[in-house]
Amino acid sequence: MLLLLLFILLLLLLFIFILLLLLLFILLFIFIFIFILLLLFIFILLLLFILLLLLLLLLLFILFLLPISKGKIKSKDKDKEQDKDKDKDKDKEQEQEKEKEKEKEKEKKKKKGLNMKEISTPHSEEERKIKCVVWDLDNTLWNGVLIEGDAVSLREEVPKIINILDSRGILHSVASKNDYGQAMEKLREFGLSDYFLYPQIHWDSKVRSLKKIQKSLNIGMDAFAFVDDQPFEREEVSFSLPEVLCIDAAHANRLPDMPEMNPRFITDESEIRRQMYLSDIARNKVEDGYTGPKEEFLATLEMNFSISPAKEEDLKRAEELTMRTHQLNTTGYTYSYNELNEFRKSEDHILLVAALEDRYGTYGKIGLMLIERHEGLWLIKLLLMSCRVMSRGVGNIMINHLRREAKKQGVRLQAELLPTDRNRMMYMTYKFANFKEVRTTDELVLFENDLSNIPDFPEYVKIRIENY
Amino acid sequence: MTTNGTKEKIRSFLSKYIKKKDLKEEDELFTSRLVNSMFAMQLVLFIEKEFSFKVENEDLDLKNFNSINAISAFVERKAAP
Repeated sequence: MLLLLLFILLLLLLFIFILLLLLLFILLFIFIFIFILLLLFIFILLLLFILLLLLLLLLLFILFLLPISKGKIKSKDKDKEQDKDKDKDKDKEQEQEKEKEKEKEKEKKKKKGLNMKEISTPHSEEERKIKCVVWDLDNTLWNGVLIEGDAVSLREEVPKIINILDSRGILHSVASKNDYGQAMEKLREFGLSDYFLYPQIHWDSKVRSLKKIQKSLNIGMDAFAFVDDQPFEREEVSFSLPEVLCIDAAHANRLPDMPEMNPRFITDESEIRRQMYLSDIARNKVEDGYTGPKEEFLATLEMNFSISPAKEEDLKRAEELTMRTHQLNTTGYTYSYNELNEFRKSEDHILLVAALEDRYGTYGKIGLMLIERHEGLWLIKLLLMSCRVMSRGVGNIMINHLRREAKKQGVRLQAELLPTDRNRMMYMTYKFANFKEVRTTDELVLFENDLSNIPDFPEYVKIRIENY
Repeated sequence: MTTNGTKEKIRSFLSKYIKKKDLKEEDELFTSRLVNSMFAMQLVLFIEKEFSFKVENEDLDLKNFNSINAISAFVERKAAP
């Protein structure tokens, strides 16, 4: 009995002991838990602290670095090397123009195994080409301030500069805070008014003026140079439109020698570029005012379209077209002058050039077709047309001409198309011209036309085809 | 949107480009040369914007665009949820 009691007591003690142990464990757990919580708390605090530090750094960066980069832009025309940093940040829209001025080597590289990403890589400073110079008037184009009643006199070197650049196909415009009528009158007096496309003469900011000109001319912002005597204006432009090349009016006489002002190509087209823009302005005015159907308007243009085998004198322009045309280009293959010359002479190729003119003037050579001749088959390697003629409905004339010609020669007609994010219109043009996809390898689409239902040429355009 | 509403929108867009009076719903637009294929791009952009869907490459077939009826049927097929 006593033994049993002792045993029970021992059991009880053991039980209490275990309970105590459990309690201890629980306490320990709670401690650990609190410890972890504390750690977490410290960690969060640390994170917050780091974030704050980063924010502070950013603020400091914005506060200090911005004025520095502004300063850089200011002294830009004096120190060209500094421009290099700037060129990197430009958006795709501006790259589009840049692409056109790509170095020959790069272009050759992408010719066959064309990689679209490669085209949109940023370009170095040396390749930057200016397509339009925007001038301030007071104390830049002329000496004196017009609105203050000064007897302004044209700066001596200015007409020469404008003329030289004009002959290279570089356009000119005006961004001036002035009275429009008065300033235009003065420009006419100086015999310069015809040189300036879409002149912006008003009291609005120069940034807005530049944007307007850019939109009207439809070229990239990085193809613009801005000449002004006032540091304030240049800085404002540099700040809002860092792609624009700002030049102090005091250095205007250096313009013709700047590499940016020396385009790689000077073709017949360059020389009449301004004229083409002027006739385009006249045309658009009529088109905007025209309320009837599109085809009727096109008929009023009295267009003359010609297709002829490429001659030697066409090749420079042909090369330029392969490099400058991205949107209305079926494959984007680029060819050098020499390659094109080989195609021109080769029995296995047909190289055709299309030109357009209307009652307002010429559009110049605006289309190019390269056909590879195989046994019983023509393969259209390249079909492109300049954006200038986008809404003129001539793209189809080119394609339908090839369809007819192939039918006449009794050969099959195939076409290559390399889709990009920009040439969707050409895909559609082929599809809607009854081309069917034969196969797609990698990116390359091969089309074939069954040469049935070839429509007549439209009535609103006169077509002349030179034998080949 | 009702079929008639769709057709009306398409018709009013087309009227800017086609001079033919009283264009019928079944009239062929492309094969009969009423419009050219540059116009096709504008038509596709119009459809994408007006009816808010993307026209894919495989949709770019003449049979989807060759008449008011065809376009309307195409739009309804694509825009249906």
